Formats: sequence, structure tokens, C-alpha cells
Amino acid sequence: MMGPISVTAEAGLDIVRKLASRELEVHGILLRDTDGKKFRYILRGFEDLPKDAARLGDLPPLEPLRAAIGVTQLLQIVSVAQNAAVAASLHRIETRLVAIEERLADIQGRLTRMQTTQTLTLDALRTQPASRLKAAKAAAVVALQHRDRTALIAAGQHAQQAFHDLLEQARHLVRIEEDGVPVALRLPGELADLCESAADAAYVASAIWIALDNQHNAATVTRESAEVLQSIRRKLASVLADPEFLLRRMKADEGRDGELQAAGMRLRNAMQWSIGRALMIEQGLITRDPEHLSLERVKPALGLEFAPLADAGTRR
Amino acid sequence: MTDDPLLSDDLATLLRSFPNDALRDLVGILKQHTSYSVFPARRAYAAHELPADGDFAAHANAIADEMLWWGSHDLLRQFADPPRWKEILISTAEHLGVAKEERRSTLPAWKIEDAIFRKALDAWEHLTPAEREAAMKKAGVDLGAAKGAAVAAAGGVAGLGARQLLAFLAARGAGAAVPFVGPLLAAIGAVWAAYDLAGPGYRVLRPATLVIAFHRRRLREERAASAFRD
Repeated sequence: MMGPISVTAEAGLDIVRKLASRELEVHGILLRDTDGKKFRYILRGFEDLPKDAARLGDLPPLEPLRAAIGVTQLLQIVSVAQNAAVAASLHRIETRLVAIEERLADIQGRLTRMQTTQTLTLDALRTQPASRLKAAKAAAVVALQHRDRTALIAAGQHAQQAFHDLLEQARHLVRIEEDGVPVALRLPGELADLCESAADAAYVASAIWIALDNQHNAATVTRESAEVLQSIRRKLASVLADPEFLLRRMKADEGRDGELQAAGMRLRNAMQWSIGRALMIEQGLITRDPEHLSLERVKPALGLEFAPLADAGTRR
Repeated sequence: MTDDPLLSDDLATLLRSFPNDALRDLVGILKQHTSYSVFPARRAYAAHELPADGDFAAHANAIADEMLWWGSHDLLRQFADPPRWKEILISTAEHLGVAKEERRSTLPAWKIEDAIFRKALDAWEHLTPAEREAAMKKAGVDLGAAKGAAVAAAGGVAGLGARQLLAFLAARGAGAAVPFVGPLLAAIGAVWAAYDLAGPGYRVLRPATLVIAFHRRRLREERAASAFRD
């Protein structure tokens, strides 16, 4: 876990301490300009919370902060929180990858029960993303502690490879068919897990490239994540909308409507998050941390330059 | 038990989630038929009287009641509650020769509807275009002016195979100003005349079930597709 960089408000330090001890988790902070336009500043993990719970003042641990802190200080805390979140996300992704590993094993079991005739490559790929992410995490920790550029490059390569592996597995689920229907539609939860994990891995890779001052690679990997997720969504939407395949879908239907909708939402969120991050990198809002204490720093921009996400909306 | 109305076993719940055009298709079939029962009929007469662009959704419960009434036994319904939709489906599926494992009582209603639907399309597939033409004529379907590449290539709707027919219905039928999903599905239902079903209700239940199955499926597919769109 990274230590704080610099925080002017005591309350800010307290937040960071709580973040470090995992007593407090940062899911998101809502900033509002004087006209009431809503901007949502996203930290990973935020998207699972109801939107309304994101108001800074509504989070009980931040109560003492509300009256005392100014926008600049708040943004510094946001920055620190993000730095902490980067380190936390490495741990989170590792944990997530273990879950993904188990899910992939389950996918194989289910496909066996479905008496699939397809040849799956999932088994061969299953353990690779997890081990690559673990390697990336270990290398990043060493690199950050010792300012070791070589170790950081290795970490970036590991993370990027893990991203591609996960993406390939997600595409594979969409590509292979059972009774003429993409297996992804029969295993929507697994597809969403793979896609979110791919977006997570892209995030780690991009953060490492930013730490190496390679904005181009960072933006490219993040944008690739967004584009592939979008193409997966389009492909599935077109299969679901094509009446020519209605009979096939009818035959293969297991009544997993809720799971399909949830998966669609998760893919949309992962894609939007990737697009938002790619834009922020391209516009120079996410840059290398000059103090080398973390992988990246989000440029304090008085809140108003953060690109609002599509679902943030406005309220007057 | 599901909270999702489109997966519900309860017919009234399902029909309340149907859009106007789907209910219009259903009512189009219900009102064509006369009951010969000597007992009072639970029919949705107010919905029968509506014009094609009327508000059918307001009568969803009454339409569901009428469907259950058609599926009930004249004498039994004097002493007992009307049967549930799934019971009617199981009985209809049995009469139509749907395989036993596809009409088990443990299955949800939508699965039994699907099995009936697939059986109907299978029957359509095995008819010659001339026999299909005759079935459509018997059901009063006039699709001579139906357009589309597949229709043109097949030389008319009667020339379409089951898959293309379904695609034709899904692509052009739903929401069309002139109702033809109902009539066409009624024609497909008429293909089963050879089964000579015992109760008069089956001549209504047969096509009506196809209409319900088709629209339930269509709505679920549209909803799933929209989850993957912006």
C-alpha cells in the first residue's frame, strides 16, 4: 500500500490512513460545480455502488471533512486516494484473477455438461493471466520501492500480456458456438467476469506505462480495451436481434434473462470506464507522478475538467 | 418463482407486460371464435370491440381471463377455480404431440410455450407450399402483398421455410399497422387440424398460444439485445 504524498488537511491524512488500513474504501467522490452540474469522478470499484451513495458528504467517515475542506484540498485527497487505489487495485485484481480462474474451471465443467462439440482453448489459457498479473504486481512493487525502471517495464509487459490473454478468452466465448448460439450468451456472467478482468488488466498496464512516461502505450492499451469490449457488445446485440437465429436461441434458452441483462450492464460499464480513462490519458489529465511514489497522478483540475461519464447526467 | 413478468407462469402478469400490438394480435384470434357453451362465458368483450389502434393494454387482465376460460372445462369450472396457464399449456402440448420431456410440470410456462411453438414450425416445415397456401386461406390470411427479399425469393409467404417465416414475422410483424402476426400464426395453428382436438377450446388455444409464445419470445429477445446496446 502506498503512503500519502502530501495532504494539507488533517482530515485528508486521516482518510489516507483509513484507506491504508482498509478501514475505508474509496468508491467515488461526487463533485458539483456552482451551477449544480454533476460530475462523477470515478475510482475503480465505484460502479457497483448506487449513484446517490457517492456524495462525499453522505459518506459517514468523511463527515468531519465536509465543512472544513476546500476544493483544492479535496482534489488532492482525490489524487492521493487514486494513488492508494492503484496499489489496492493490484491486490484486487490478483484476488479477482483467482476468482476468474475458478470460474473458468466452472465454465469448462458446464460446457462438458452441455456436451459441447467445440474445442476449447480455455484450459491452456486459464492460468496464464493470473500468473502474469501476479508477476506484474510483484514487479511494480519492487519498481516503486526502488525506482527501478527495468522492473517497471517488465511489470508493464506482464500486465499487458495478461490483458490480451483475458481479452482473447472473452472473444473466444463470443466466437465459439453451441447449437448455433455463441457460448457467451449461455454463460453471460463468465463473459462479464472476463471482460471486467481484461479492463482491470488494461488499467494496470496503462498505469505502469504512465509511470514510465509512455502516455502513448497507456492510451493505446486502454482504448483497445474499450474498443474490443464495444465490439463484443455489438456482436452479441446483433446475434440477439437477428430473427434468423431466433429458433436456435429458443432451443438453447435457459431463461437466464437477468444474467444477460446484468452482463450487458457490466460490459457497458467496463467499456465506458475504459473510454473515460483513455480520454483522460489522451488529454493529459492522468500523468506520471513526478515524486515516483505512485504509478500515476491525476492532474488536479478544480473538478471541472473531469470528463463526465455518460450515465452521470446533469441536475439543476 | 420469478419477479420477471416476461418469465412469469401467470398469464395475467405476462399479458400486463405485453405492448398494445401483441395484445391486439391475441384479441384478433379470441374474437373470431364463438363459444357454444350453455354456461356464462368469461370473455373480454370490451377488448373485442376495440379498433386496431385501441388501448388493449387496459384490458390485459380480462384478456388473460378469457384465455383461461377457453382452457377450462365447461362443467369443472362451475365448481372449481379456472386452471392455471401452465396447466392449460401442458394439456395443449400433450394434445399437439409435444414430447413428454418438453411439457413436464416442473418446466416454466415459457419453455412449454416454446416447445409448442417449435412443434408448430416443425409442422409448417413439413407441408408443401400448396398445403400452406390452403391453410392460410382457411385462416383468412391474405399476405399476397407481403414484401421482402426472402418472400420474393420463395414466391410468397407459403414458400418460406420455418426459420425464414419466423424471421419474417419477427422483422416485419411486430408493431405493424396492419395485424398479420395473429392471422399468420392462426394459419400455422390450423396446420394441426389433423389432430382433431377434442375440446372446442383448442381451436382458440392453439393459435393463441402461438401468439403468446411468439410475443413473449420477441420481447425477451429485444430486451436482451438492448442490454448490449448503448
